[in-house]
Amino acid sequence: MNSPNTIAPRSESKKLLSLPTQQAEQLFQSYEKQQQLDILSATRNPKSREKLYYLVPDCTELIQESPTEDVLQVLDTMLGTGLASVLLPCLSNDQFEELLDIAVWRDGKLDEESLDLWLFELSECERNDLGRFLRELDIRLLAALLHNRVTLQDDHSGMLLEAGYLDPTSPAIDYADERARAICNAIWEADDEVFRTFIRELFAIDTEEDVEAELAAVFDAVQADRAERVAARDKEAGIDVTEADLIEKVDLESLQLDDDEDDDDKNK
Amino acid sequence: MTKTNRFSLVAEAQLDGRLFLAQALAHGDTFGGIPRERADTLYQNIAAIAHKLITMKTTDLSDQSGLRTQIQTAFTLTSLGLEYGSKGDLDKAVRLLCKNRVVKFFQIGNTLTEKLLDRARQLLEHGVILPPDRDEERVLGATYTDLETEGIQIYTQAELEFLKALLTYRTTIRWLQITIRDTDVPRALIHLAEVNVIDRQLACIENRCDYVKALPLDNLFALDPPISIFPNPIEHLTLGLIVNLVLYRQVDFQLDDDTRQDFYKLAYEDGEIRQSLREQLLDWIAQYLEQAHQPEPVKTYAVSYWDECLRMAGKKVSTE
Repeated sequence: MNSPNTIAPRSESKKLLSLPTQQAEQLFQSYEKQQQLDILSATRNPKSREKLYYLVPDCTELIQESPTEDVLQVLDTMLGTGLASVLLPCLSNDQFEELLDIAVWRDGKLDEESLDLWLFELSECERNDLGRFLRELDIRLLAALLHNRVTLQDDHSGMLLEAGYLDPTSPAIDYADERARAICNAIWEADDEVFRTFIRELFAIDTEEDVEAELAAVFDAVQADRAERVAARDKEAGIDVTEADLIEKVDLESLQLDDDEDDDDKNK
Repeated sequence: MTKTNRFSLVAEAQLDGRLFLAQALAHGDTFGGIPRERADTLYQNIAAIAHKLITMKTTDLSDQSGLRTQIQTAFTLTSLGLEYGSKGDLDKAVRLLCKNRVVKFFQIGNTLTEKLLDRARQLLEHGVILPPDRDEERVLGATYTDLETEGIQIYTQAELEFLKALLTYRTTIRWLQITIRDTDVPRALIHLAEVNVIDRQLACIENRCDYVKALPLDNLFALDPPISIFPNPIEHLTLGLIVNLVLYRQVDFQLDDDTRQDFYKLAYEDGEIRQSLREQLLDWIAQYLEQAHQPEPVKTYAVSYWDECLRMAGKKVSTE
């Protein structure tokens, strides 16, 4: 095995990417895990990084010890193709949560288009993996997102659900599009309990008198939860800048900046 | 910039040495104004801003140019904010960096540029004269491209590029121009002076919009050939008005080649507009806008714009 101090990660990465697959696999697997992570970290092109992950028989550990943004970069190259479902199962639950907190939010607001794209990728995953991720997902959010595309036909849906008679093929459920149907099918196959929770949340939204207000409340609650998680993660990473800081405007006419010399002048 | 792996997406980023922020950090380093530990923290904080901006704004993290843009934006806005806060004084900038959160400078830079970006968006949306029956469709969310193809742009093509570049915190000009004619490839904003030039350039285009919209444009879309086919329709429109005033003493915009030639023969001598005629015309537009209750900046701009149109026509006369 190579000694920890003998490799230059960047040039090693270039070498690995230029070798025939078998040789590259042998070489990459000869490194200690930290060296492998250093090489991955030094490889800034996400496509190249993806190739490096495939040089070990199971890249789960490497993925889970990589920064989530780096993994998201790789997954973004495959988004919308269904291919991301190959690497998605390698993520830890915490990573998955962090990934969604980045990927489906823009400027602190939910990006529904991105969430839809990610749900499609998730629906392509093995059902066991999907079940694991669904338990990390905020089902209220899922229901709020799909409430226009998945509708419950009548007031008896709740009774049917509680009696265990409701599944994605039930005539009591209408789908606006095939992707919504596929997502519901995948949820059901992955975890019937999550599916029931999802339908319950849908039902709760639909039976509200003011649906728009209920949706807004759901989005607000999800947004607040996400902001709390992001703040906690940032604190741990030593980041003291929040999204709110970056959006905040200042009054240019009355700027308040600390400057010892000016303060001294004022005190004279 | 000190490389940091704490924020992997920003790991390769380098602070452009031309930025005021980089100069302030170097100044602090040279004269011992920033303790080593504080300098490291500053670099980390600047990287953290870029990192947060990327995760907030970028839809596709695999888009390397998108990442570069956000990193550049973070550095640029922080630098502009520091330059503004310190009034360009490096000693003061070093002191400010030591005593304030770095994000404060980002906020100042962001506030400064966001105002410009809002004005650029306004111009892109409203700097077009639409056919009367298209007015209602505007509220339905027509795109810039629709407006460009179906209306008469008050900004020139070079100005359109300038406005679009501004939306990504870049500029295409080096100095103030009555009409943008000299352009560069879009480049990142570096200094506060550029923000001031952009501010004044936007005012020029805004004033031109007010000037044009104050003209009697009722028959604008009945002109033959249609005015939108010309590379600079507003210059053509203005010249049409000038020619009609001089030759026929009437307010009209219809202009054909023969009339234009007659005007050149009458008004120009050795490629230069006759001085007395120039003065009459500039007085006329100033008075017209006065009667139309246009504010002073619009009048001043319109007079300069007419003067430029006459100069450009003079160049054409010389060529022909």
